[in-house]
Amino acid sequence: MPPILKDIQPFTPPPFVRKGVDLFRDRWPIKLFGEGTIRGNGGLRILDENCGTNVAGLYAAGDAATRELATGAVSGGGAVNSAWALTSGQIAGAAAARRSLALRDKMVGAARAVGSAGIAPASDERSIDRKAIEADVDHHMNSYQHSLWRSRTQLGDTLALLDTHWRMIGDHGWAQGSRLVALRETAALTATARWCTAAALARNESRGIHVRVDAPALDPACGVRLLTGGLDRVWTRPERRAYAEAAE
Amino acid sequence: MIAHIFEDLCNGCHRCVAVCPTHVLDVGDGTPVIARLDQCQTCYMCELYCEADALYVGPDAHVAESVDPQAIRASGHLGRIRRDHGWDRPDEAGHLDRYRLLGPLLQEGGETAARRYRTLAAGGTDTAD
Repeated sequence: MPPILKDIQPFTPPPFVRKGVDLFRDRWPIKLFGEGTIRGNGGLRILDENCGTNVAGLYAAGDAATRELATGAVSGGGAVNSAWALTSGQIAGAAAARRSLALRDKMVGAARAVGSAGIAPASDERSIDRKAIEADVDHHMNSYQHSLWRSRTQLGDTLALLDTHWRMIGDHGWAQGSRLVALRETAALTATARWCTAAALARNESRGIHVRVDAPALDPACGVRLLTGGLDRVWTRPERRAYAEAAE
Repeated sequence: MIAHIFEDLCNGCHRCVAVCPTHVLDVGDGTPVIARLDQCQTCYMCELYCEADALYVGPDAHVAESVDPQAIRASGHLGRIRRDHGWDRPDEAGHLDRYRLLGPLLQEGGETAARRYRTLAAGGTDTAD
């Protein structure tokens, strides 16, 4: 394996080499890093063969796009996931380019931001403690306690806390330039964490890596994907059966 | 975390500033500036895009590293990740096609681990074979 690993996964050896650790002979400390439950198992919902979403002109690709249609609930860093990243990028990119070409002569004026978090606060501007919010999101999404042993009570508390953060950003967040990019990233992390939590609350069963200590058994009646969305109010609903069947 | 930018090697293209997903770098006077080191997540993206091989990222994602530039220069690490990926020269990266051998390799690793656990369970001594 030593010679071939460098060939097929060139990113694996360098950190060890730079650290002076022999990957194949030495022992080194390891740590389990939480990726949450989202990787490869969720994302913007794709509605057509062009990777289009329910927002006109918005095409989803790679990790940002849902890929259940290609992989089911299987996650991972290679194989069909890599193929999906490449193909969805090409499909979405081509579709976006075609759309832009078609609209080329109809575009007038500057683009208008439709988002409001960090751009148009509902109330007075206050400084937002981004690091504290991101630390909360990280803890509630990735800590062992929250990701491995979910319960209705705990998820409810998480959602209440994240709702508070979302309101704080929406009511008081404002920034410009690269600071706005950072603030929008914090808002996106918070929104995504609320969607994950709401979906976990709605799934009253344990299935795959979603483990509810208060509902440890798999419920055959819950064998349908959940859709989630919303900003000021988060919603979830089962994916329509017809859509699920069409995908199979 | 990113540890050093070699000013004499840097060609000032500032591509690293643009590709960094966490905005660690700022455009500088000729050479980029490490402006927000605490945001570096050690993804090596800047190294991949640096055609001048002027960047070095330390392997620890949580601790800033002070390095000896001369030692890094002599180590051969500069640019290796970019070259091994054929990042800007895909025709030199035919070795990546051997990726399909990863499955059997992982299988082999699993079998090796299972053997070692059996040895340990039987009261034997663990050996890294």
